[in-house]
Amino acid sequence: METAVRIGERAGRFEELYAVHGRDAVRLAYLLTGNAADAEDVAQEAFVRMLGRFADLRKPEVFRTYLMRTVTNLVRSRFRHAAVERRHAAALASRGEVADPPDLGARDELAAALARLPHRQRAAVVLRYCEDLSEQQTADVLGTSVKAVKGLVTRGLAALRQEEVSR
Amino acid sequence: MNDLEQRLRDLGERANERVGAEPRLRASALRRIRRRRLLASTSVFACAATVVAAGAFAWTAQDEKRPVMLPPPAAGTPSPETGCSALPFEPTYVPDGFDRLPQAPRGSGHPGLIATFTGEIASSIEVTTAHHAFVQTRPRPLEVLGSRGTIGLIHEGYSVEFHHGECEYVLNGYGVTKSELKRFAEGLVVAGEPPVGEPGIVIWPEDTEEDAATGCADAEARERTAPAVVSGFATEVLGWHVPIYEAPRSPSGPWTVTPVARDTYGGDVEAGVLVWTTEIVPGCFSVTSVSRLGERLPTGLSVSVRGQTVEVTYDPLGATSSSAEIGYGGHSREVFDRHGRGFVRMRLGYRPGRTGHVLVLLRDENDNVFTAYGVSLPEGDFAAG
Repeated sequence: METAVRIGERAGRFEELYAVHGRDAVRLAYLLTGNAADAEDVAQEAFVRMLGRFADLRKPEVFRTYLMRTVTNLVRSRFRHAAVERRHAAALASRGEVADPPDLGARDELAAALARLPHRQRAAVVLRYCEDLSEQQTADVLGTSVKAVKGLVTRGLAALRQEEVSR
Repeated sequence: MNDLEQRLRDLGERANERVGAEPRLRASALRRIRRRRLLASTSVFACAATVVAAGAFAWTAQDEKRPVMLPPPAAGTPSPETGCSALPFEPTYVPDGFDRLPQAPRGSGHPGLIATFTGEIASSIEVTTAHHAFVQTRPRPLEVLGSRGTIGLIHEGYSVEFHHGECEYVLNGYGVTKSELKRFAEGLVVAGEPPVGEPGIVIWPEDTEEDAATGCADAEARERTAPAVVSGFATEVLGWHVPIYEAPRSPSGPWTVTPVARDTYGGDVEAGVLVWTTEIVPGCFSVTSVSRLGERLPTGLSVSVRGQTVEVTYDPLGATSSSAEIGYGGHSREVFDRHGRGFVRMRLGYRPGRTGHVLVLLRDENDNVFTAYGVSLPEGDFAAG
């Protein structure tokens, strides 16, 4: 049975891991959400959840892949919940009730277009170009095949180009 | 590189500026981490051996929101000292820094774990039953205990699949190199009598081993070769009229099944499933589990069975609608989720007294199934996820 000291030591190692990898997690979450506060929340939650599955991770590339996957999945959950909130807000607006305006923050047009992509297309494009991962690394994070990644990226880029043409 | 791709890369660079100063784990996160570790190491570990041996239950709080019960052994599973759940082999080589003696399973949500060889930080080799194998990428042959096995890449490390006696095993190596895991596997030697087989887990067409054996013995029964069973599952359960099949790439691996128009369904989720089968009697197969492409264990699936009440939580993956079917011994109930929430609750009307199954079907806006999760359930109360 682990002693309280060892438990504290392991939690300390997670602090060290967060100090090394936390910025990457926050950046990825920010690129996927467009919101700095949400990104910080997602990154913190990702680390807490990862502890539930692994005691520690030594191999750097394995840890980073899992961290990125956890961040990506958490963002998807957030967007699903946000979609429910937006539908509720739209319903309120249609009845003439006042709803809180969405907090878009300061974004450029490309970031705004990226945010309008379906989650997996957005994640694939962000991981491939903003995070500069290879197709295989992107597939590992998304838990899918390289072929699927290619399809997601192709469709995502096509949608972004279409938005630019339409403007 | 074209202009759009470069601007996306620039966006990534600008994100660094928006992230701000070095991030730190919040005090609240640290408290949750310490609490999780304390509960996992005390309640669960202290009770694990007792739970596995006695079939009792131990409660532990995996997080602050939802307690998780350790799953009891499935019906018919032998005690840890016999059958496939035993450890009938031992290593002659372990990687540097590893303990030579294995550790008993600990923690929840890791079905099929038999033992763990532990190294230094973040390195371990887990011994599991083959029912819980991850999909191997680029499997290569190797010899383990005199039998042909495979070693391949999994999404967290490497795995070795092999069989011994009447049982099939998987070694999952985390934080070890492929050559270290290969050397570990090839260095295993027999310790004790070869294990005898144990009653398996099945979910379709029947969801108990006994019913599957009866079905196989039926002279008028349909053809039950592995391809026929996979085909039947795809057409009858998933509704795919002309599915495409790829045979397993390793002895314990799954069939890959996709609908004809792979990109027609599901929007941004690749349509298809992985289907695992087992041979009930020579030439007669059943489906044992189903997952979406690229994922052996449905990571988004949680099941809780308490008395007659079942709760299933799953990742909807963008489905427009979905359904969850729970069944024990041939008696099933299906509940629909029309809003894509990824949660259903149902009352069975009976207390599960046999093994069963859960099957989640995800549908797109045209009401076509694009993927599925399906796993077996032990009898009685259960929770995992």
